[in-house]
Amino acid sequence: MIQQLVRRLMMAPPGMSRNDAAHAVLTADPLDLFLHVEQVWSAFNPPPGAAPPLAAPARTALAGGGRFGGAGVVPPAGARAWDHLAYSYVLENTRVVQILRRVVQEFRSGERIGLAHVDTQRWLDATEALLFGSANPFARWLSSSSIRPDSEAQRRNAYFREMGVELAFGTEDNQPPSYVKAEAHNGSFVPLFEELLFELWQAIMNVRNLVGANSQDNDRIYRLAEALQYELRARRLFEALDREELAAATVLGWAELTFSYNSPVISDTGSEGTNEATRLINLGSKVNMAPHSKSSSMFSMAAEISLFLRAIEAGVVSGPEFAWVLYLEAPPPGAPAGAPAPIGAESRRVITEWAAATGRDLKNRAKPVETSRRQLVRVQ
Amino acid sequence: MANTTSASRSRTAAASRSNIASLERTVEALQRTVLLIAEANAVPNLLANGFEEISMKLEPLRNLSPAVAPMRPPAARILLQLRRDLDRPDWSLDGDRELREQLLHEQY
Repeated sequence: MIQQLVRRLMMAPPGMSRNDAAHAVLTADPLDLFLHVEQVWSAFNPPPGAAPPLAAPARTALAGGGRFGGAGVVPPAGARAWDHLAYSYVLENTRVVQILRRVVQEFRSGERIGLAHVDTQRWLDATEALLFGSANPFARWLSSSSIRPDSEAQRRNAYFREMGVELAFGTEDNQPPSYVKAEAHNGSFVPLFEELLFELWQAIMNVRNLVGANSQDNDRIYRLAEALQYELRARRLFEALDREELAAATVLGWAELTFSYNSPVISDTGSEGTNEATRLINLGSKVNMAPHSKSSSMFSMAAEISLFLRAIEAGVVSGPEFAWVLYLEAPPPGAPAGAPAPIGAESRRVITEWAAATGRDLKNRAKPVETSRRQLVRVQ
Repeated sequence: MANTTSASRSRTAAASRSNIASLERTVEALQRTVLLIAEANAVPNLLANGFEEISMKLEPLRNLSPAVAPMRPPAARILLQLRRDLDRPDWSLDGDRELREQLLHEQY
């Protein structure tokens, strides 16, 4: 959501450089950001009859008056211009939100970690509003009611429901997290996902294998992708979890953009680095909180896992003959002009970084297939 | 007599050590020569055996891959739309303003 906004600012006339666009977003008035989130949601435009209803006229008119409401900056109708919930999950696993909470606390209460220049003060205003629920007129995007007081708990709930996963850490003071674990959740997401990554690696290895033993299995890739699609979409019936996904993508997109370059807050705290993970480690050390040791992998796969799972959910692979879309990196010979690039490069990045982040070897089977059993499993 | 024998043994041992050192030097020189010959003749050897010709014949195989069914138009449209919706800036260091500034700084 936030990275996509930066991209649209770069592309819309008169155009901006990447760093200027990022700076414009990070120093924006929080109200302008909320208005833009509203426009992104309205552009998504749920199909007739689906809940929730389109934005009311007054809300739409108000949203159009924001700084980021110009032509070319607002996503086109029908666009789901925010990242998948998995993007937010892998980024939140770096512990970036808890570190930013401490940064805001430090700046708001003293000068121990540095003096905040004007740009950083604007960033603090927006961070406090977007991430930690300071007052804003569009509370719909944050869990700020008395029923859902903790936005982190709300995101944990969404990760658990959609992917059956939990964050790798507890509360800020290392206590077990407290959130509602829904009964209906996708508990088999991770095994399915990792099995698909394993099969995709087999396929990638055999892309040019025409004569040797070939372990590529397009039918299995298709069936695994289909099973994942059904599972992920089961939690999204009638637009369920979409608003939570947009809210999470906004929060984590903000955090990612903050660390994407040596932004004002990074400079003011002396946390400069050459990539996101280094900057996060440096800033974390200022506030006495270490990020996840695999943060580099988390940052590296965030965008790719988003596109990967969006493509799976959208049903792009509708048969074994189209399994190549998930493992080729360029359109096959003879593809029509303008054909989209398949997502093999993204799949490969996810395989590499997911394996690094989880410590699981996705390129070999932990246990070989048992061939001695000659009967089907007995029906219990 | 004993002194004569001892001196003779000592001379023999010294001569052996000298011979061994000389042999080692010869072997090292031979090894260097063999390596030089092998390197000097590596390319001509390959050419003489028609390797280049074979390689040229095999070159088209680099792009050979199993035929696949083209994406169906609706799926292609969905994937294009997904890529457009999620388009984001590239934050790798290539072309980065900070990198250019850093290079300029190092230059001066």
